[in-house]
Amino acid sequence: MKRTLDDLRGALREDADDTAYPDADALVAGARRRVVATRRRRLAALGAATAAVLVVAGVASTHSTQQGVLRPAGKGTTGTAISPTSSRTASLAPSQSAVDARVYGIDPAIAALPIAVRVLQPHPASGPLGTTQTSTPEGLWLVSYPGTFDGADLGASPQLADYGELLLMTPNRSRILHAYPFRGLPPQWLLVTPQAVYCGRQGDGGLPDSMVCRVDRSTGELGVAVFSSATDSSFGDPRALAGRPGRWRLDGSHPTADLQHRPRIAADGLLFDPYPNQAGSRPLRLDPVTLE
Amino acid sequence: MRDTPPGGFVDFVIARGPALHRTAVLLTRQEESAEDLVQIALAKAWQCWDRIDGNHEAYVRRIIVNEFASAWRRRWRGELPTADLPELTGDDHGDGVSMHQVLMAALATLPPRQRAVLVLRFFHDYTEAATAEAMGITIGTVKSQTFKALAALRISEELHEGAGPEPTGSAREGMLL
Repeated sequence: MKRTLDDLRGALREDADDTAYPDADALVAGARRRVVATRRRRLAALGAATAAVLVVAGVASTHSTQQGVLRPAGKGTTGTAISPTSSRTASLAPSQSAVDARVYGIDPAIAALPIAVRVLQPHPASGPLGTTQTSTPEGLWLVSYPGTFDGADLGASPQLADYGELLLMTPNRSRILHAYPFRGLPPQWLLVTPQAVYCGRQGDGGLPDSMVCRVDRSTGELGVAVFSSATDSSFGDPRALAGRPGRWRLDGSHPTADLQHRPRIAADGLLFDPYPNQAGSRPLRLDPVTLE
Repeated sequence: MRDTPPGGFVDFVIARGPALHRTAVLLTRQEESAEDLVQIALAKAWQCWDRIDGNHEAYVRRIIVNEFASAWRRRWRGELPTADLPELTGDDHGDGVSMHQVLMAALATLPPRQRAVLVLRFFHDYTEAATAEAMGITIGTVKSQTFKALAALRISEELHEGAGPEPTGSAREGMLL
C-alpha cells in the first residue's frame, strides 16, 4: 500500500490535534525563569573575566617586556587592545573592531560581543573531543563557541547558532589576533605542529557534516576540507561554502574514520584512526598541506 | 534586561503559544520536551522582542526549529531511519490509525533537519523558500532533505517527484499536493 503526502499531512495534523493546549502562564513563567538565569550566568561570566583581567594586569605590569613576543597576524588587527588600567570597561568592549570583523569574515554581531562572552571553550563534560587550546610563540590558539557558558545559551542572536571559531589570541586572552569563523561546522579539536594548526569535527545528528581545517602558521592561510554527510548534509550544494574566508573544499568521499579526535602525524600525512568496535570504519589519511 | 515581559509578549503567548507548541511537539515527539523547547525559544525572543522586525511567530518558530537541531546534536547518537519500516498491507487500507502510527514512528527516526523540513513543509505548508529561510539553509538543501525524508518514510515516489535535490523541469509545487 502506497503512502502519500496526504497521509503524511493527515498524520501530522492528527498528532498535532491530539496535543493538549499548553498553559500560557506556564510558558511565560518558564521563559522568565530562563531570562533571569541567563542574566545571572552572563554576569557571572563577565565577573570572572573581569577578575581574570585584573590578575593579568598585575602580572603584565611586572613583565611588560613579554608583550614584545606577540606578532599580530594580519594588518587588520587593530583597535581592540585592552588596557590593563581600564579592565572593567575593557571587559565589556567589543572583542573585535568592525574593521577586523570584515577582514576575517566575522559577523558584526559576533565581533561586538565582549571577550568574556565570545571566548568560551567547550565544557570538558560535553564530550571526549580532545585538546581545544595550545600555547605557541605567536599566541594562544583555541577553539571557541561564542555565546555558551556551561552549556547554557548566553546569546539570543541567530548568528551564534551552530557557530564555532578558531582563534589566535594573546597569551592572556585579552585580544584576538586572528579569527577563523566556522558557521555550521564548529571545531571539536585542535592540533598544533611546527608548520600548521589543524582543527576538525565529526558530524553528528544535529550538524551531520564533518571537516578538517589547516592554518599555515607562517602565513595564516586557512584551508578546509568539508566531508559532507551521505545522509543528511547541509553542504550538498557547494554554494553553501561560498564567501567563507580561506580555501574551502567540499569532499564527497564520506570517510568512515573517527574525525572526532585528533589525528596522528604519520610520515605520509595525517592519519585518522577507524572507530574501534565499529564494523566498516576505515582509517583516513590526509595530505598534511592540501588535506586531500 | 527586564524581568517583566516586554509589551505584547504575554498576549502573543496566549494567542500563538498553542500553535508554537504544536510545532514543538511534532519535532520532539514529547509534550514535556516540547514545552521546554517553546520556553527556551520564548526566552530568547524576550531578550530581543522590541528588535524583532515583523512576524514574531515566524521568528519564534525559527528559534524552535534551530534550537531543536542544536539540542539534538548533543543528544542524538546516530539513530538512522530504519530500512525495515513496516509495509502496510491491504488490510490497513482505510485504517487511519495504522497509517498514522507507522508514519509518526518513522518520522521520529529521521535526522532532525529532515524532520524539521517535513514539519515546516507539510504541516505548516511553508514553501521551499520559506522553509530555507526559517532553517537558515539553502533551497537546494531543503529540496534534498525533503527528498531523503520522504524516501525514508516511503512516501510514494510519484507523489513527491520534484522534491529531490536535482529537480527536473517538471518539478513543481502542485505536484507535491
